Amino acid sequence: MVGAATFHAAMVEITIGSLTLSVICTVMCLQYSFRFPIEKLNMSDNMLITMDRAALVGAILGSVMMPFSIMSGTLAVSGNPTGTILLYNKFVYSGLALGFWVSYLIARLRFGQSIWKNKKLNILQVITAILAFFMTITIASIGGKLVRNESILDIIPLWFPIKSTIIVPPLLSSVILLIGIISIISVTKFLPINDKN
Amino acid sequence: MKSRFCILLGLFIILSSTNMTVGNPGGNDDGNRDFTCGGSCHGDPSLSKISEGEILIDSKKTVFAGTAVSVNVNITLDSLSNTNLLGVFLLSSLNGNGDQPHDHGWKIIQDPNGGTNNYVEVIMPDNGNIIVSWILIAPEQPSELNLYAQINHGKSSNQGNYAYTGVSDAHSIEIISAPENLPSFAESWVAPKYRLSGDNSPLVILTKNTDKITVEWRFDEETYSHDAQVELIEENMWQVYLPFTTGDLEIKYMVTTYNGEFPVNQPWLTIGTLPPTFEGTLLGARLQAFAFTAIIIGFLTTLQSNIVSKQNQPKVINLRPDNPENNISKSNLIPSSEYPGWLWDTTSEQWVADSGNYSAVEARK
Repeated sequence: MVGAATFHAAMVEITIGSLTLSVICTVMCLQYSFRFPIEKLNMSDNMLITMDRAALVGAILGSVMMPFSIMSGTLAVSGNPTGTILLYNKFVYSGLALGFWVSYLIARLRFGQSIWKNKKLNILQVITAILAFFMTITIASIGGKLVRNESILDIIPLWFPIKSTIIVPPLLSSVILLIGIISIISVTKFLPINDKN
Repeated sequence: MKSRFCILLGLFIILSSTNMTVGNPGGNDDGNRDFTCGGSCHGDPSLSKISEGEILIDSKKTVFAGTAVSVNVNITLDSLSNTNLLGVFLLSSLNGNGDQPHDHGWKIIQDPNGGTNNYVEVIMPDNGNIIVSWILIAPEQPSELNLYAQINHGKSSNQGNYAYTGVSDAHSIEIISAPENLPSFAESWVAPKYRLSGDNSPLVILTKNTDKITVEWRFDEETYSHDAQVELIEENMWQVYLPFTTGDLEIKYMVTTYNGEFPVNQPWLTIGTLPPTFEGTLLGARLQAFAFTAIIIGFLTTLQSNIVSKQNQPKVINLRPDNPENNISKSNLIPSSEYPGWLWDTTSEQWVADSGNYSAVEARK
């Protein structure tokens, strides 16, 4: 039999790998709106299209695999999956990471490739991807802390807190969830975008 | 071709910079282990080197059988790894197996980290000297036994990535028959490692041959000791009231056991503080995660739509007929009953906003 921890390791590797590819390609897509002053450093149009597609596919694969990573991780924990602050933070940061990645995908799918030609949207998309990636590697870092009691982020002086957490009461979480769902529906229903190319 | 070569060269350099490591540089946690962890990297002659550390063991030379004794290991060592992590063993032989003190009749009631292990990991202070103490119950049989201390560590400037190890000289302790009815801790009693933060429930101590105990306590850095309140629960079972602690405070306490007028000072023991129990639930964590997901998606999609709708907003033209600046030919603008407030400009073939409500003015005419 293969244990849940083994599946979790495989899922996490796919997720992190895909999302790393996505965030690198997304940063490259800045060139759609902001060209380097040195022309030699600029990518060709074909290369930029490839970057956009790679970023999209990476984000889709990573976002699809993320719930599987969370589920296999929950099964891999012996005892209470939220029994410590570190484990609880895994859930919290997973929620944040998923939120950022899904927002990234929604924007890319709503506006199409033309999103990169709009300077403000381009910057927003890149910031979203970077934040999403930071959240994602924070989750991975917590995994390292749990298994080996150390992670690469130990050498970075400033990072998101992982040894303390905020427990939102379930009732308040439900209200926040409801507000979030209502705002998503409102935006998609009442602010339709006809800018897609 | 040149760029591909540069990429390959970069990858090669990155991969080459990851060293082959030996031992467990991040430590291996406290535990019960034999000499050199049973043939670990620290024990493999091709992977290890002798530590330059100086290790001295100090304790009473003669101990009554079945009584508590404090064994102090004094380690002086200048150069460790960047983390200053040091692994320390207390051993009863150096055979490679059956080396743990309990294999020779000792019982650990407290290790330097508050547990009951013969191997502990500690952080060496910057001055390069540390004293770690084990509290042991001596074997029941009179004999002369040896104790050893071993250290495992890394080194910051360590070209061969060697695992360093060092062993003390044998420290001999003579176990002699205890006088009849010598008051001491019960063999079954283990000193608790922690209390929960803010917990002021009494500490339960089990003894043997004891009709009275007194307890002195002090905080870790304190010089003076205080007397603790003691209550007898039943024969040889006592509860001791120590003040509650918070944060990472430690209390050191020393029990004196009496049998009649005959007192025996037991070694100083330590009790630490655990943070309050974490109260997160799986349902709560899931709900919180989904709530964060939803609120972030809601916020970012709103922001995206806001950016686009602001940029797509058509230029608003005041089409009031009495506006002298209005130079658009009115005949080109067709009001629409389907889209009130908007006019179709037949010249430019696009909708324009009717800010002055042109159609309403025209209709009144």
